[in-house]
Amino acid sequence: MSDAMAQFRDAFFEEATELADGMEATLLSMDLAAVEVEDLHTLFRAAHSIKGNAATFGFPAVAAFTHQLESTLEPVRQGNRPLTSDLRELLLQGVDLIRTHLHHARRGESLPVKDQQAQAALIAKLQEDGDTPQRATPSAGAPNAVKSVAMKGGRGFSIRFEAPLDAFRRGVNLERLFRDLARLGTLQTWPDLSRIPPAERMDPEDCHLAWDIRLETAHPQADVDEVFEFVADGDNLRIQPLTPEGAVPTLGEILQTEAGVSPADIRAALSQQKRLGELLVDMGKVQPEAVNKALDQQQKKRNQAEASTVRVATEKIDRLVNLVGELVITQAMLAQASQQSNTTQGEEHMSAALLQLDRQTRELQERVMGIRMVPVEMVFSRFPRMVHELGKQLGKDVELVMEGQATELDKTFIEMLVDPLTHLVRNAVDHGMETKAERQQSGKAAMGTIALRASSRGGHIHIEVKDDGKGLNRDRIYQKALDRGLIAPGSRPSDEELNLLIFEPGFSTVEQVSDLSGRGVGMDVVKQNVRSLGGRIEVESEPGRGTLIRLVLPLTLAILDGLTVRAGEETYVFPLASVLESFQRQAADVQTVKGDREVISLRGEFIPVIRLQNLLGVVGQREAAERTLLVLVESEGRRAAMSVDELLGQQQVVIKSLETHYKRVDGISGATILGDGRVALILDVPGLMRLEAGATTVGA
Amino acid sequence: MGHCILTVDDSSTMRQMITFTLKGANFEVLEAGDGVEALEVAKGKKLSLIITDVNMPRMDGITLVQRLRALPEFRFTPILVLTTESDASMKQKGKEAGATGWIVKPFSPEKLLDVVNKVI
Repeated sequence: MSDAMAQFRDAFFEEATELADGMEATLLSMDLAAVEVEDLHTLFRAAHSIKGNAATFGFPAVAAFTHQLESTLEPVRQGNRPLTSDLRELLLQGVDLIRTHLHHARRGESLPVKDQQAQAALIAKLQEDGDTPQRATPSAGAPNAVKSVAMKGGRGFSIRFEAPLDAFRRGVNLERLFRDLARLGTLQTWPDLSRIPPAERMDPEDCHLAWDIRLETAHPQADVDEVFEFVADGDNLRIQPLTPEGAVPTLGEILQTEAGVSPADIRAALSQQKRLGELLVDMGKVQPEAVNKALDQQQKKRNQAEASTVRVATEKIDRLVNLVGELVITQAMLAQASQQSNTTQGEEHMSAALLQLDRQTRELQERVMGIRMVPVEMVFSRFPRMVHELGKQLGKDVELVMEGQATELDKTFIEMLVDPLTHLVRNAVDHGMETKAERQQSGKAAMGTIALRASSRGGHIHIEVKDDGKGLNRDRIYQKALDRGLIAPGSRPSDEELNLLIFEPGFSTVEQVSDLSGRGVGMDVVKQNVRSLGGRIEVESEPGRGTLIRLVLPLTLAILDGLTVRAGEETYVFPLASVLESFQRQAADVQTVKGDREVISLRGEFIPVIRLQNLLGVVGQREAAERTLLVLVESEGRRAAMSVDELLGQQQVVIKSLETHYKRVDGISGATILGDGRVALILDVPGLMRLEAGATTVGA
Repeated sequence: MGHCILTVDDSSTMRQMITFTLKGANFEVLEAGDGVEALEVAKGKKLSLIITDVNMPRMDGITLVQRLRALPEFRFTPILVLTTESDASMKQKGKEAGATGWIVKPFSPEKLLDVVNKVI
């Protein structure tokens, strides 16, 4: 592994982020009136781990700040300082700052000035609020003050050590120190005599010596720290990991080892360097604003690059590697079998190998898809904090209950779900939930509950946002929909249809638009995103009892369970999720209403018939239509019977985007390649319904 | 060449443990029960190291360190103070008084020898 250290660093950031998330979750879930000691220990351990690991991996600023949180938590954990609601807020801010720290450390940047100020202010508050023990507080850049967690080290360390002035007078044996250091690995030292004052001002008992040290070692930093234990004094010692093995060393590092340039000289030279932006501004070639803008842009690109990585359990990868190994064996079996294909034995071998190949391919497909699956917790985890803060802001007592966080979803979904779920949860707190007074008046518990649930049900993922608030006001929705022209005057939409209107663009029933939500934007984003994921929305609401919004999503974007049908000479695929049933009827059962619209009666209900052949302009003669084959589909609460010529079967298809390869076509959501190599179009059921309503024909 | 170490502690069990460990490592060991006794024992001796507890009757360890540093023959002699984990400020106090380093109680014999080997 060439960039082992870099990999450990990634792992560090992942872990530290998780620990910070855990701290936040613990803080939010704690009942301040009855604090669980175990929770306090959990908080302390998390801070402690982040601190220790940060120091080990060379992020002293992160370590120093987390040390502050740890010191604050120590007396709390010991029962010497109560966890007040104020302290909790401060600690939550602390968690945010850890995240900010990590964010910058990941890019090799130091903490921006404004965050440093925020940090200083926060530390001051944390200390004034309680009797933080008088522990040595490490300043940023003094990793030695932080005890490192023993961990397998990297390639070694670059050390700057300035001996304490009183080293001789305290009987410190510097020779011994270097001998101990040399015992850890290969040592290179550059004494720095520049701190020695002129002879007339010199006290020979003072120690003015300093060294730049390069130590190549596999020992962890803790071992190096220990050597310096008695002489480290705040900021007289800096230990930094060397560039990891395999990574390109800095020019300075090479010059140090090859040309004997001292680290002090390199530092001096570096301090004279300016950054590109500064230089260009100095040259008058660019305005400072333009540089800032460019830096922002660079930052955005970096963020994007970061978001597009997936964290995969090694176990999943191991299984893949094994499978590929098995595939190679199967391939060898097939090759051998093909050479003796004219013998009975050869045929047997061939069919056995093909069977095996079939199983392996299927498993490989499942496992590769599995790599993209991540727990829904990744979206959920942001909500406890959000609900907590929203509730505070709006003066509502709201409890958030989460279930099924471990449910796995395609990573793309997770990203696309962030905005919709944020809107739904906000809406639930802001509009769904009554104020405390209102709740008590209607005899409800003052504390409102919002439930966030994820579950996997028969090839679909259900994500529910449920509140026990006042429920949707159907009269108001009806009136509003009428005003906005979303429904025709005199029409009687079902409750379900009415509920779904809240997801129409520009729809908002709140008279007073609040800061947080209710600007009419947002809910239609929910609909858009969910639809683009091939999912649907269901709404259940009972006046006075609350509202349940359910997002029904397919398991993955890349593969679809489909029903393949033939219309004319073309093959089409219905997403199985929208198919309710298929049935045959006498052609005469199809009735014509309003001149040209066809309907069919099914169990007492009239359902519009859509002739796929006509709608899509399919080529090929229609067979003598004595009997009609119909596929009953449902989308967004509406049903339709699609007439087709033949049902070909059910199968999983891999979705290919039509847009990327050709262009967007109404009524078609994508394409797939069938087993015989032909291309089949995948039907977009809601799109087809809209097409039929507009009675336009595509294609041809 | 043998090193002579003075161990100062009011607890005789602790003194015995230290003495036993150091003697096992071929050091010559002298003992004292408090700071006052330590100064008497040390007088005129050539010591390689002094290990002292902090809380002792008559003269505590910190004062002992200061007194030893004031004597020409012990100005540069390594001195270790025995301190407890909970008492982090003691390390600082010891340092200010002129101690070379510290050993954190409780410690194992191996740890004791490690630290001793660090300073002599």
